[in-house]
Amino acid sequence: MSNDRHWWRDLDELLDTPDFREALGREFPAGAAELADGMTRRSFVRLLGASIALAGVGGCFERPRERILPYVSEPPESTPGLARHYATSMTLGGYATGLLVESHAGRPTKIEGNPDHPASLGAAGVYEQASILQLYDPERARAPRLGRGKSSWSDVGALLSPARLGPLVGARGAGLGLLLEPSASPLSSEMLGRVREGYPEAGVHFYSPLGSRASDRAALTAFGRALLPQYDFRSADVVLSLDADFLAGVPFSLRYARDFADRRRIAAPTDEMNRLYVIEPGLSVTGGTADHRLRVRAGEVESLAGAVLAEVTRRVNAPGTRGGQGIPGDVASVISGLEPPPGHREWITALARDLDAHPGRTIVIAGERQPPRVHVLAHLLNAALGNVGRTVRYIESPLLEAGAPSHELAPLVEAMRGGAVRALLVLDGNPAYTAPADLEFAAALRRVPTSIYHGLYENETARACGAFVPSLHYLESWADGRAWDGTASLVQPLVAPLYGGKTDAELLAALIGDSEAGAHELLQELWRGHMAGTDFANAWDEALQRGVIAGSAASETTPAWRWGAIGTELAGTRARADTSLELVLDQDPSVYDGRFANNVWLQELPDPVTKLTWGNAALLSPATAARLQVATGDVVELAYHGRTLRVPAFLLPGHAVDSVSLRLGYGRGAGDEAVADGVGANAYRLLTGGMAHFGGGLAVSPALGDDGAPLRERLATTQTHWRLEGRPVALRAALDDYRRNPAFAEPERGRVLSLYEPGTGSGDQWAMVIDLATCTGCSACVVACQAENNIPVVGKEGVLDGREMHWLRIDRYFEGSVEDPAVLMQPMLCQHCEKAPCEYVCPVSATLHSPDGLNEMVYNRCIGTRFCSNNCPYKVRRFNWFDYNAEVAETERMAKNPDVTVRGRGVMEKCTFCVQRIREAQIAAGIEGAATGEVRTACQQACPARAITFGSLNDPESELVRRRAEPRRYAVLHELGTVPRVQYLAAITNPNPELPRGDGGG
Amino acid sequence: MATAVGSGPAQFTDRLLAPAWTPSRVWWVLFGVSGAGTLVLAGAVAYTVATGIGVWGNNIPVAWAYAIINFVWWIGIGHAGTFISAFLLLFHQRWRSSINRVAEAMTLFALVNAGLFPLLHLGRPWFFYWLIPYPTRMGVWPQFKSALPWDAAAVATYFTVSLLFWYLGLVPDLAAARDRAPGRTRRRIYGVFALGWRGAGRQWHQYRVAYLVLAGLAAPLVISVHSIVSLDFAISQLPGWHSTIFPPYFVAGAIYSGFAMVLLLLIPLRRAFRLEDLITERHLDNMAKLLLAMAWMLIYSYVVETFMAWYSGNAYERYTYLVERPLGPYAWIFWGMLTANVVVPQLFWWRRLRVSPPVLFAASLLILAGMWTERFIIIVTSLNRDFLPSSWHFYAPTWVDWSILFGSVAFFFLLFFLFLRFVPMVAISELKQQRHEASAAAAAVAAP
Amino acid sequence: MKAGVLAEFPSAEGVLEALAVLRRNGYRRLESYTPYPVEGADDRLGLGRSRLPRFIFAGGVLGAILGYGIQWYANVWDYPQSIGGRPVHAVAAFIPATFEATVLGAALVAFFGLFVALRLPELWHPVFEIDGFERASVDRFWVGVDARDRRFDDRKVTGLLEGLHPLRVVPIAEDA
Repeated sequence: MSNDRHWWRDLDELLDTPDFREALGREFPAGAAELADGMTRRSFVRLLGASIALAGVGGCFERPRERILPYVSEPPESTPGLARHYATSMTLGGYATGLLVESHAGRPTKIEGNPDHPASLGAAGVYEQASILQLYDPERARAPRLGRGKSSWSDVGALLSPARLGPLVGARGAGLGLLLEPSASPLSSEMLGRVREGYPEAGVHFYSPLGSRASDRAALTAFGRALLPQYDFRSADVVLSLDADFLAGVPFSLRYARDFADRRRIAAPTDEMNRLYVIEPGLSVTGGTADHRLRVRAGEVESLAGAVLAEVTRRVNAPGTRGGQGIPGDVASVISGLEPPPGHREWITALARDLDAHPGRTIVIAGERQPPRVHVLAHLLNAALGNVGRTVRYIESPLLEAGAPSHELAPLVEAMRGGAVRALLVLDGNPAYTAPADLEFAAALRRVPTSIYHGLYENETARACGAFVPSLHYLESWADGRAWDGTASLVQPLVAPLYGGKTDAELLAALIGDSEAGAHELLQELWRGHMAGTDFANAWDEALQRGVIAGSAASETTPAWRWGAIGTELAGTRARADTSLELVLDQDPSVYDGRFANNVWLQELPDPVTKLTWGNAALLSPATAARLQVATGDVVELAYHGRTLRVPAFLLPGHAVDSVSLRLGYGRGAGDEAVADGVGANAYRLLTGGMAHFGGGLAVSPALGDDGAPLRERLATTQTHWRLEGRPVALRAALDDYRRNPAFAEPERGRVLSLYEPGTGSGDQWAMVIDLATCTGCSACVVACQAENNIPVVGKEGVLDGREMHWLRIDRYFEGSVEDPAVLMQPMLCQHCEKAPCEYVCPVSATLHSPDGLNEMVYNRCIGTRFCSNNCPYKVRRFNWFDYNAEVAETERMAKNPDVTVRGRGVMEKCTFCVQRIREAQIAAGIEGAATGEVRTACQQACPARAITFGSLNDPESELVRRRAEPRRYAVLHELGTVPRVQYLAAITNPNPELPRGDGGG
Repeated sequence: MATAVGSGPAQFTDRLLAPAWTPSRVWWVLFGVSGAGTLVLAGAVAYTVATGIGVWGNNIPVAWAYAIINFVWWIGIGHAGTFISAFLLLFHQRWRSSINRVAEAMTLFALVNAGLFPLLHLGRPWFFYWLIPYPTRMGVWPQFKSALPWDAAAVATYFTVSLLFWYLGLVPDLAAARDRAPGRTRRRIYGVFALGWRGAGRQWHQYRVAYLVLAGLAAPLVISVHSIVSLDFAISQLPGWHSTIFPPYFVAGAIYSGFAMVLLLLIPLRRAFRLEDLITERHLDNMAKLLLAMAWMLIYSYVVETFMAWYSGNAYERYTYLVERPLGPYAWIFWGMLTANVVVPQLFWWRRLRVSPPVLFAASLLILAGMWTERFIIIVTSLNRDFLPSSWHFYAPTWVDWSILFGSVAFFFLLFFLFLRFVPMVAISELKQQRHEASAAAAAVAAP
Repeated sequence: MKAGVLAEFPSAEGVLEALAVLRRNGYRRLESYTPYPVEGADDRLGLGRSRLPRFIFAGGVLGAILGYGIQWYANVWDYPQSIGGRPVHAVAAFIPATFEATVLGAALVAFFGLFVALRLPELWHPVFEIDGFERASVDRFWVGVDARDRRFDDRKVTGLLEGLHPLRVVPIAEDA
């Protein structure tokens, strides 16, 4: 009975509203804590001081000594007050992404994608956008350290010199260990080469907590070489993702999202669109976009993939078909033995038929989290379906020593513990925090006599190392890198180092005795060699200006299949994974592997699917939660292979049953990073050897406090209600229905009867169209908006109180069954209503309409009645409850966009359609006496899927007008007659008619 | 009109002026308590202004809460005073004379409190004067399509007129106080406030005209002010606010809560100063009847707005009225409100309860609380779940919200106790006139 | 009245009778002092209809014009803005404030007009010098004949008043 009641309570919280659980949390009047909270005790004096200080920064910025070159499209001469863009690239997960960085008076303020770079094509993701704040992070390390005390580069450099290090590690360097992050940088490769010349027996290792490099191992098995598949989503009609979050969570996501979206953007009902199948445990951005989503425990993906392969080969080998792609009999027989786990046969058959129906026009992609076998299955599927050479091409992995044993961490730790490593140099990363818990890396590190850490922060690893050298942010560095497809690009600094420090290359140079070498020289030296034959000076300038090195992309290679190895590998395929409770570890969409945990923008960026900010939680399906008798907010104790972790539970519809997923990168501490300190729980404590990111044998029990009472924690979500309540807010239709009834969005657009007909004015009339069919909810636009418009953060308390400041938010709705719902993503921002309800209630006309159709907000005039917010049906207006900018650190102020007012306390703010960009364009046009050229809002610019279109209604040529003419256009809350200038294109899904509709995204 | 046996006009006057001459120990205690409460208010206000209204529980979507609830509540309470002094005067309800002074004072003090909140709830309170149309360098003006400038105008006018009306009624009694006060200083002080009133025939002649006209002007104000306050909500398009019945609905609610407050003040007063002969059972009876009447006007409004929400077929309206309020997270407040405002007044169908001071006192307390919660329901439950489910959010007040609410109540009583201490608390000359006319009438009847 | 003869009575009736008698004897510049308005005293004092209401009405009209005028000037003429797609001259929206202005105008005139008409405040007045006159605001009723009455004769008036059995008759003089 009590069980039932409990279940209903869960269901109530889940279905009806988390208000209920907030109510539970609110036994004491909210804000009783606020006294303790510093924010509420800021005085005007402090603000005064701050603003005076702020007035200081700006012009006072040192450019790098070396000659750096702006993006080529910029006018050569620099005009004071005008921003300039510089091309550079940021490396994450080993691969580089090309960027354009906006710089005001020598001060980088905004990061945008480089249209010429294959990994970006002009888009910029969450991490890239937010990395600007990391540059100005006041908690970055500022000086080298030797032992306890501060030190200087010369001392540490000397320590690294062969003279000092040689005797320590032996002439051939047997006692020297290097631990780097996986990298594709030619410069790093060069420098490592030189180090190896100096110390032939030095142990060089690469470690990244994300991705077990299973793909490399699979490639070695299947092809004998570490080949990297390149997917062409533009020419794929059907896509099967095996637990791969390719739209948001992989190094090439921006590009993949762009290509994928191009096949989903259907202007007319007659157009064709791709179809996406996803098999995954948790609910990822990609899973939310899927037309058919099969939620299974991560351990079952393998058997399902096998079954799909079996079914597919059965079909292609069937008499009268194309015949197998040269799969030898013995392997084929192994394959045909692969059985689908019960229950999914129908789904798999339909999927296989669908794949088979599009020979050479499908893609099967496996997630890095999955074991090598799944990747092998994916390779075989692509081969069987004739995709290889068409939608799937193979190149040599650009990563250094890809697939080599040097990518294993365990041997190094073994050596460290054994005392074989006399000196260890750790470049970047944070292994003491991210290494599998059972390796006890930090402990092993203390056994190393001489340990030197090189990173941005004095973090966990730095604490465990004897010496420390601050590294440079990429916006301060000279370096290079390679993208997923091998394209090389240079990294040029925009500012001289803020605090001083060294790049990886400079550190490695010191190892071989050249502690004074500059990265710039090293880089030029290297590329002078690579660019031999051409006029180097021009080639160099070209490379800097373009942000890419032309023709450097890796060339395709045809894989040679090692059938023997494949056969044995497949033979091990289990038909049924163990049925115990499973733990799945995820890369975090905000803090990545934890390196961005000190970035307030990212901490406050809502998780795309859970909408959680400031922390992580144990995500599990309502049914599982009911069985375990836990509710959202209950702190649970996860017991996993002898280790335990306390973390609040969070019920996530669409999550696989009997599986609990947990985001990595939280629970930081024991470092200088005050923001990150103690936010969330450290999931690495559950990451165990073999570095499997999932596994069975998890036990979940409610965590009890010292008083024996069950613990609860308030989770800061920006969206507390999940259902649409049947309201016409986020429309979606299946392709067939759309074709049958193209006018299904008709009732939600067009004229509303009114006494006052607003006439669309003349000249520029700005408007926006957002395509829900392509929006994945990745949230790049949210960070872009925050960076462009100087939007403050409010902290966990602020989010809990419902005071987040994001001008642009992404609403996430669930439709259908609670267990396996469809996901709807809807970017929501000021709709710039032509008949704005906010305007006529403002007593001081602080919000009013501009002649070009903007709903304007006059901060100086606002007295903060908040009547406008009450009367805004979209609730997109934000209020400065406190003087949030008094919170911003001195250095972080430098990241502010000088073109946008920094708002004070007590005034309203909201999306302005990036009015500063509009006016800039209009002024420029005015000077040339031309019509206003293209204006791109920050959100539109960042969107990898190009879901956002902006332009003038009076420009018949504009893409905006063309898209507004699409039949699936509609206005949110159209019946209210607010006549919004922001209009949406209903989402269109493409479900397989053979499969049941409704759930799973159909 | 009851006549006090064996008391000539002189004793009668002295008796009613007495409280002003010698404060009782009880008075000092009450003064101290309410004074302390007022300090709490001052502290909370200072903290809010110095820090920002983030110290309150408000958020997006619930951008209005306690401040506006308190504002509407106090304004409403104020209405009873004007209703008693103006309407009842125009309708020749002579029984009003023994209570109108207290009621009018109550109005003023309620308005003082009410006026506090619109200023305080601003994000930048120091710019409140931007609501006033005055010429500026920038050439900017208030925006008169908004209901807030209407509000400012209405409240300002209401306070001014109430003050003038109250003072005008006071003048003859201040003259009496001047002439009876012990000690020279008091005589002089009252003398100044009496403006040299002599009770000359010519003065009475004009005085009665002016007083009647002011009453005539105050009467429509009672209706207009809370109607305009209701427009703060009604002109919006928020489900739960966007309703044409709001003006009458608010006026009825206002007078309802106002009478409750009057009773709350009169019942102890009656005991403390032995005024049973002036504030008789008839008064209690009449006011209880008025409470009952107003209660039914409210009930009608509740029914109509809910019916309209259902009948409109509008999904958002329906959700607010038929789901959020009766079943949502604040349901317990909603049902509590209905109990206080709808069930409690039904007691007054029985005369025995209508004239029982304890019952009336308790009922008034409940009704005042009920009317406060009504404004909470109207404001918070409409905002916290409006059109887009994505923006729904819970609201909970902070300790600052509570301090300000209770502080303002204390402030109200502080002002009221000062009034009792220094101002004639009953319209003495009016009562004397009525006593005279009554006895004259009696004599006329006696002599055939 | 600054100078003349006063008579004190214990009741309102006394005053009414005295006024009647004095009027019959042709006295016109009469005055009464009572704790409360006495019904019927007005016509015996020969007071016509009050002109106050006309001024009050004018005040109301003025208030209305100003009220609407300010709104129109501010939002329509001086600084028109595009607000929520509504017309700049939104007549309906201007009415509430206009109404309030009307009432305010009328009320101010009523209040201050009264004191102008009564020439108050006038903190000192000869009658206050009479010992015991302070009871005029409590329980005594006075009747007075102004010395400026053309038929005023000290002895005659005093005699006449004495005949009405007052509590006492008191003369007052400008320089008293």
